[in-house]
Amino acid sequence: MESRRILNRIIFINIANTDYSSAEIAGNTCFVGTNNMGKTTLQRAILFFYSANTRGLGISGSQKSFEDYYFQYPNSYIIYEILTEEGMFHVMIYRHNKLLFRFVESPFNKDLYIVNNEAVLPKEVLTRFNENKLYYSDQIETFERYRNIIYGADPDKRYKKFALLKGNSNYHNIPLAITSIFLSSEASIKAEFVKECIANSISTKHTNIELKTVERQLRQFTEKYQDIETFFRKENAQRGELIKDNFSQIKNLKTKQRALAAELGGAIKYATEQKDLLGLQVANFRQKAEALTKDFKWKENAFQEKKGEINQEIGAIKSRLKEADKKQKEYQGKGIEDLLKKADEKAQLLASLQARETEYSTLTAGFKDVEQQFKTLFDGLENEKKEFLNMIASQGLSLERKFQEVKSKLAEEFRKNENSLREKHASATDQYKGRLHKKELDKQKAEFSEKEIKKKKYYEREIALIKENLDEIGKRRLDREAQSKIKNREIESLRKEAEHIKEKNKITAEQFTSKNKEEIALIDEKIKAIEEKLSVHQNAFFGFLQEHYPEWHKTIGKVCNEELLFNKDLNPKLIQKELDTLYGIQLDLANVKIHSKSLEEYEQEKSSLLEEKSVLNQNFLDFRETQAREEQSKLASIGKKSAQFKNELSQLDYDAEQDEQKEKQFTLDLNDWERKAESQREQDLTDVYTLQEELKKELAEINASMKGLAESLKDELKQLKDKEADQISEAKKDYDEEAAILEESKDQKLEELNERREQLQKDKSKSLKNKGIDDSKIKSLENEIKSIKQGLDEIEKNAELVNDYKKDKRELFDKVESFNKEKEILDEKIKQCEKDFSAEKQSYDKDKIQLEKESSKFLEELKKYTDGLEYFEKHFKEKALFERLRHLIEPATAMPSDLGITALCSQLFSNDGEYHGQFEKFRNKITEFTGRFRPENHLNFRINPNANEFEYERFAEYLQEFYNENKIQTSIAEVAKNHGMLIDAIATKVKALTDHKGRINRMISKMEADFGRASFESSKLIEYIKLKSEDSENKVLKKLQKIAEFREQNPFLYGESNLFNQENKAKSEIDKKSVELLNDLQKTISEENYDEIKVQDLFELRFRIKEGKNDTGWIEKIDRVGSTGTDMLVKAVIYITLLNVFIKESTEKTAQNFKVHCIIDEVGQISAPYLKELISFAEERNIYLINGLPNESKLETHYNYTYKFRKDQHGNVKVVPLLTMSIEP
Amino acid sequence: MVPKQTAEIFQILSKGNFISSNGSQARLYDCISHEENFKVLKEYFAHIGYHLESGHNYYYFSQQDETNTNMEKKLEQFAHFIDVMDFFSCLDVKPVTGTRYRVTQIAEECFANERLRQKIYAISRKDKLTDKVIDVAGALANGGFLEQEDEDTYKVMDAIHYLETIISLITIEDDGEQKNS
Repeated sequence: MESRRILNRIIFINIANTDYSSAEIAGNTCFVGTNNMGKTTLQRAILFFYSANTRGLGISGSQKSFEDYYFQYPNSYIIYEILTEEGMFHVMIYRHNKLLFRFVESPFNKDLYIVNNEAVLPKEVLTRFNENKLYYSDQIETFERYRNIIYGADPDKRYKKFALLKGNSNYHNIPLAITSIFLSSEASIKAEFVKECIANSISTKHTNIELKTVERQLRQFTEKYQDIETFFRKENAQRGELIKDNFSQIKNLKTKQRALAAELGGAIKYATEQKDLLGLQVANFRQKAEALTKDFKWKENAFQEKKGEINQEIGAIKSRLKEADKKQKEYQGKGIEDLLKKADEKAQLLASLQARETEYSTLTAGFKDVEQQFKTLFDGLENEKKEFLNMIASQGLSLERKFQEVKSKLAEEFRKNENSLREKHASATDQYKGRLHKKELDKQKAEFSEKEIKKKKYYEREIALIKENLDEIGKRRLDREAQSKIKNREIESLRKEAEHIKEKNKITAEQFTSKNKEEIALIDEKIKAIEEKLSVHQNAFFGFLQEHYPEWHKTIGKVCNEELLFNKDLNPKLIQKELDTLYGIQLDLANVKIHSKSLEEYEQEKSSLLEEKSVLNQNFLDFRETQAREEQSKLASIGKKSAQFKNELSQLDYDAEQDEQKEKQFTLDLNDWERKAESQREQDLTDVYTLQEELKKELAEINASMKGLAESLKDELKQLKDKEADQISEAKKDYDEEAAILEESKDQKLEELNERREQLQKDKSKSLKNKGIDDSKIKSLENEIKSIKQGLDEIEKNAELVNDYKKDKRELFDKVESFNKEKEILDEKIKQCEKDFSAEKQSYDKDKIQLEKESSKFLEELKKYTDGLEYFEKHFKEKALFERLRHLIEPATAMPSDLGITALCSQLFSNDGEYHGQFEKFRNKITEFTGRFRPENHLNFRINPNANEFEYERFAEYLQEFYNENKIQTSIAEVAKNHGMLIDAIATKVKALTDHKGRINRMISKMEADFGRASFESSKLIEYIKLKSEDSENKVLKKLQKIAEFREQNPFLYGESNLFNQENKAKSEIDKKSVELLNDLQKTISEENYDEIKVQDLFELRFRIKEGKNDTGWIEKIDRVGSTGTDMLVKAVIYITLLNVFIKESTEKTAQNFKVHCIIDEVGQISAPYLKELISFAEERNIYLINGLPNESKLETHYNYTYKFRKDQHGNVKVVPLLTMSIEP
Repeated sequence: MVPKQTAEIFQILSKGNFISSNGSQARLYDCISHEENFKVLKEYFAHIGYHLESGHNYYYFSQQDETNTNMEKKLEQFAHFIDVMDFFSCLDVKPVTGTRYRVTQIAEECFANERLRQKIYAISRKDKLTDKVIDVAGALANGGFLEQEDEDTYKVMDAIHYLETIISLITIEDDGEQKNS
């Protein structure tokens, strides 16, 4: 039975271009075949046994995948037969969509797979296994599981028997090394490759530091940090404040705009209503005015008519007077007075003529009887006397009649005048009475008006509206005060709550931090202890045992404590191996626990402690972040609420301010309206009082006038009476004078008659005495008769004129006075009419003025509203602003506005102008603010350049919210966590990576030792191959290490929850430094362009090879040591050494009875002796070589198995063994 | 003691560029603004004939004495800047500090607006519209008034105030000739 485990045989069934091939490879194997014959296909299949990784087989992307190329049919199988101490088992690989493995506990039996030269399907194969009662495993579906089974790392005990070797946790280094060697087809071996192999052997990919990830994390951190830093910049904070202020201004302007728009809407509706109302009132006034004017016109016309009539009458009187005057003058010119006198003397003259003629006839009749004569004379004289007395009596009567006539005429005239006066007085009195009545009515009306005015509530609607507004403001104030108190209380309680949360968190954080610190310190102590042990173990008893006493754990390890194990002063010496005694005493340690630990266990413990520490660190960061987040979220919620309350408070303040202003305005307005109302009342009362006064005055005037009129009537009547009396007395006087004259003429005539009687007596006596005739007497009588006749003729001549005169006198001259009186009366009438008309006119003017005054107020109001509406229609409605505010203007309820529509429109325009100005500033500030941040900043401070007003306002709201909720704290906490995590992650990774350094050094030492053994003593070809490691020059690693060092130096000081805290200078410096370190790292990563930092980056590896007289010196790359063959050989030696070291590192030391293959293609150029030495070199290390040769040569004789590749007539490749016997090298 | 960034500051400013507070050299701006640094640097640079000046959120070097040729060259360049500023001022989005312009966006606006197109044709000889925009934006970027953030985006720097101030100082006389007051 074999005492080794090895891949014994590989069988291809329907694989690639092979229908069936079987190659035994349980030793050094050589494949000979020209190109494209399938050597590499087979070698890859062998490699697949070790690696079970279809991607690491060196198949290029342009080629078919492993599965597609190898497993083209459902009955394609690769079978690996493994030889073990117990026998053989085989692994079948087949494809069912994906590759599947089954371990079969029996050697490969071709008959189970191929029936009638035809491979059967896997199902049938299994049936056959069952039929043959062969144990086979479940279907293994993953490469990982397969590898675990092959490398003895599968936990399932059933599969332990299928292990090729017993690998430790690093077993994967074996397939990796085999793969690396197979794939490394370069002529030169670079230190990088060896480094890689070393790295692979001691680490997993997990230990690599993915720089892309780190760089991404760093970039994210830096960007976020930069965003926060930008946020805290002085200018930005100021700008943020300005934006807030600006936004509140804009909001206020908008509120004002809305209020103005609503006011305008209300004012427009009110104006429209008022316009109609006032229009009606104005029309009413106009009607009244028209009626008044019409009435006045009618009165004026009546007045003019009456005046015309009177004037006509006056004109008629005037013409009569003029005519009388003219005729008077004419009569005067004609000496009417004399003519009248003469006409009056006509009767006397006629009597005188008769008497003279009688006298004359008597005288001339002959002196007959003187007695008779004289008697006749005496009779004549007596007759004359009688006639004279009769005439006088008649004249006296005439005079008396005339006097009586005059008297009666005067009486009549008086009556007439009296009547006329009374008539006139009655008419005037009637007029006055009419006026008086009217005035009294007016007075009553005025008194009623006074009462009305006193009762009337002026501007009731306006005042009521204002009072309503004031009441509302008052109510709002009360509401606001209550709300304000509540909100202040809420804010205060929120502040306390926030403080409480902070305090609580502070305490929790302190507790957590101190606990965390303690735990970490504890772990650090443990790690330190382990590290101390590890650092000294090589020189201590432990190292000695490791080196010289395998399996010591089972014996010494059970009885020796750690103190002894790591004591350096024990100087242990191995005297006798395998002697199971303790100072000569044998102990049964079977049931004693092993106390000592292996190096790996220490490493594991250390790494688990590190993990614990990292968990604690992570917990710390998590706790801090969670706490910061929670605190922030709670504070944000509080801040939000508080900000909301503050906002509401500021809104309340603003409202209060607005209301205060409004209240002031309303109070002013109210006072104004009240003052206006009072002044209006006063004005109206004054007007009424004035009217009353005027009416009183007028009434008094009218009464006075009436009284005056009565008195004047009385006076006039008295005057008239007096005048009549005067005229009567004058007439009496004239009468008396004329009577006196008449008496005088009677007396004279009587005296004359008496004288003549005496004369006649004397004459009679004389005649009687003389009896003769007297001529002179006759002559004188004749003359006397002639003269009388002449007088009478003259009288007769002027009789017509006298008659005319008398008629005119009767009709005109005697009526002059009456005419004058009539004229006077008419003049007076005109005057009265004029006076009345003037009073009417005055009243009309006054009424008109009053009406105009009253209507002007309405007109003024109407004009105000009409102008406002017109302005609105012409200048506002067409503007875009109206469209914007239409929704506010149109639904507003009617409301008077003190400002008026025009002023409101102007204010809206000016408000809009100001709004736009402010908005532009606001927009610019936001642009400037956002411009300071990265375009994609994590604080979300960005705005589209073409954003509309709403977006800018939303941004401002967001900014306000950001400030209010102090959202920056969340970002800070996040960044601080990122920062802490980054540093922790970097430090942990660097630590994990650098922890490999010791193992690397050990490995290098081992390799060097192994190289030392590759002396090729027989040929002395290679004098030595040396290897050394130096510190890494990788800049990124250096930066990473700096960060790790920083983390080490400042385990708790860096990365506080607030990286931007400037209060603690020392901490701020540390934070600053840590950020700088991260920035440096980011910069270096982007400059150096590495993808990751691997274990191999921890050190630089140098080779030194001496071949013959060629000494390479310390080189990084083994390029050309000597000839091509030598190079190949050196390469192969290094590969084998590497593989050997890795196998040792990766497997349990207790089970080393296995052999693996090292597949190196194309070794044709190595000379036969060297190949022999190489094979032997490999065999010493339990490694069999599988090599490829293009042609048959003598080289293949050095291998245990040599196969040639040929194609049969069907084009199927056949693997034909050339030598079936193993030749001892 | 001059700050450690002095060399970097000098390197930028001595090329006639600006250091704006809102650009990628904001750290340098902060450095100059920090405490007494401005005074110290002003004195320091004065020794080598450079006058450090501060504007509204930006710093630059000024020269007290300049040759006529230099002056003429600068005036010519400035005339070009005025045209470019005129162009930018006619865009929908005005060149306010912090404004971000996208080349494609400007090109689209020029394409749709005849007046803008004429203006950009007058100030750039490039063939394509986008190249023209890059050309003019690049001119301002070279002057330090804009900063290219990525291939397509330019950001307006605080230094734009310098240009605005100078332009506002220009008086146009009746005969239409321009003169620097």
